Amino acid sequence: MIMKPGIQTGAARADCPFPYGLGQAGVHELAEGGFGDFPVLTGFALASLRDAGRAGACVWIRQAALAREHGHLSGRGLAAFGVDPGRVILVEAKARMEALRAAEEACRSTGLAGVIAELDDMDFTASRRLGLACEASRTPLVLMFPHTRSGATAAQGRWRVSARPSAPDQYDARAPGRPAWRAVLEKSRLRPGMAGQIFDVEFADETPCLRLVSGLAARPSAPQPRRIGSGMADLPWRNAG
Amino acid sequence: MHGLRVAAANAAARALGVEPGLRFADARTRAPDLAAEPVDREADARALERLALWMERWSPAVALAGADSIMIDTTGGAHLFGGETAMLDDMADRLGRAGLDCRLGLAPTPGAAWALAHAAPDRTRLDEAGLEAGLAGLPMAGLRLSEDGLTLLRRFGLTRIGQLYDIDRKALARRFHSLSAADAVLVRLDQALGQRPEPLDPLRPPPDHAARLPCPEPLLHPDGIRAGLERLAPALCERLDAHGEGARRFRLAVFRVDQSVAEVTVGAARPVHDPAHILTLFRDRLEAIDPGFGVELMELEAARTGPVTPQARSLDAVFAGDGPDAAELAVLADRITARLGGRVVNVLQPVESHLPERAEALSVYEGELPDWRSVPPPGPAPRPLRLFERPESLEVIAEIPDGPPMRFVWRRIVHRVRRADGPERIAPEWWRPAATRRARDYYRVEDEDGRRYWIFREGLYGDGRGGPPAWFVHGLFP
Repeated sequence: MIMKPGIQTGAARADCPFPYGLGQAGVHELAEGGFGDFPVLTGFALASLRDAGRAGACVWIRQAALAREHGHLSGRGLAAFGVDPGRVILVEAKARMEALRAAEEACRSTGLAGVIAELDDMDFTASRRLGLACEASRTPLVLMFPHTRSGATAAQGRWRVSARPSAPDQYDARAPGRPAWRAVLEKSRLRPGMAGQIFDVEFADETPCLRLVSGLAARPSAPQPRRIGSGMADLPWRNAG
Repeated sequence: MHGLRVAAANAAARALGVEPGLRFADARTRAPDLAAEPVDREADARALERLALWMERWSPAVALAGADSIMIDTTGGAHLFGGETAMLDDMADRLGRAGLDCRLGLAPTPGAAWALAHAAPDRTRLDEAGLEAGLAGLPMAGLRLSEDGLTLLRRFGLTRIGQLYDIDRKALARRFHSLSAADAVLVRLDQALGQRPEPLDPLRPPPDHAARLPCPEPLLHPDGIRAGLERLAPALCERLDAHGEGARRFRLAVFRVDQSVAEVTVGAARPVHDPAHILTLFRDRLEAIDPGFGVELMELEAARTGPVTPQARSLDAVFAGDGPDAAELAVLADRITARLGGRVVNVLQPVESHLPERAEALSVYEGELPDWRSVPPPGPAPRPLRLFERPESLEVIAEIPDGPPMRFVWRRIVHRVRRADGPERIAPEWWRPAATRRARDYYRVEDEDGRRYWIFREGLYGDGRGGPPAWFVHGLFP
């Protein structure tokens, strides 16, 4: 599903740069910032998988209840997002257990660009199982959860992603601009020090990739990103705010 | 008018003179303590069908014939059971153990076999040479004729099948009140004698390939079934390999000692001819099989066969890292299907339609990924990543009647529109009824929180097609 491999954050690839292994290897969780942010998760998951630059097809597992609530994945929408819909395989799971089983099977498989699963919740044991399945094959797994998701997890990290008012469109000030999201790194095993850090990202359509942006550029009146964690010195890009 | 009649009677009742067709009142007089139950034809038919499925242990081509008969095409299969006589004895023995009375007949044609089973002594066999002579002495009722036809023939003095052989066909036809009635008699006669083909209509289409495993001792444990499958799969794959084929559907049937059959069917995304893969497909499904009182025969069938495509990928593709490995994906799809069951692994197929809800369809993944590269973009504006199955209704306040909304209520929550883009008009399909055909104006709007919606207004004010236009949300942008 990768069109243009490579991260274009405008910075040299550090040891483990943003987004800290998301979409590259291991299990990562995305959770809604609030009810209604599921489409944002969808975009964030796809963008991160694409930035990771792995070749192959993508397996997308969906739990029926979530598809009813937040709509189902649209092929033309994927194409508009820069993802080839012909390389996405959809697995329909009726319940959480089925979705977890399918995710485990998919994770064991090699040669996939990645696995994305929409789940309503999961316990620690399940996350451990998925982690073990991913370890051998090195297939990245991105899990998408509703905003109610909390508790312990064996995943590499958990991001809480929400929508952010966009900057005005380049050509039409009244139209919505590039998608803008706020991602909070809630937990991270790779960079425990970064937990709590807020990232304001923007999705660039022309060179499809995630890009960190300044909060000021987006909207002067936007609340300034707070600095919750520490260790910002090792960030290779300009910090928001 | 006629009152109750006896539909069927067992041997003890027949010994007392209670025959099918007798009035129930008369039967009561002959045997005052007669045990009787109302006849349930539907349940009988179901039981016969279940029995017929179990009879597949002798041949895959089993058909129902009337309300009380089962036809089995055992051509070329009798030697598996030690010859024709031994096979008939085996059938009678197994049916007898189940407490079923049966009459068996074996002949080169279905018609003759029916005649033997219904009118000749039990387990009569006829071969091609003795067919005419063998049938000659049987009563006319052996020909599967209607009651009227039999009555008429009896009036002519024709009671044995052999009497029909020498009769002039045209003369016979003249005696019947209609040509079709005479035809029926002659067709049945020709079919019985093999002069007119009579194909069986099997309950299930025979499989392309099958492997069987009789069990010397009835299997009582699911592990036994698993072990049996491990021996059946290589045997079946040998047969598939001999034809250079693979199969996309496998059916495991286990025949229990109590004349019942349990079966599990699994499917594969691409033709499969690898025993290990077949076992994977069945892995989680074998638990569904209940061995009951014991399994005496297992059968593994292959259907939907097709040529096995060469496994190798071109070296270019490997180095370029371009395109997923189709074989590997198919294996993964099969594993997921085997664990979840049903048609769960799908791909999105493009459909030529301007209406967003018809522009794509889900289809089961069958080893081929759809080609979206040649699909033109649908319109000037992007499409949302997530689309609702049915557009959800909105309450809207718009600044001007034909403009984007200022605010809208969706799922009982008020959203204030901060930015909007549009409209993109999608015209209705002209072949739909004009009265309900309304154009849609799609807008891409963003609310105060930055969430983006794809909303549309169906119709225009004063377009004369129904009331005021309605608003809907159709999709969500990231």
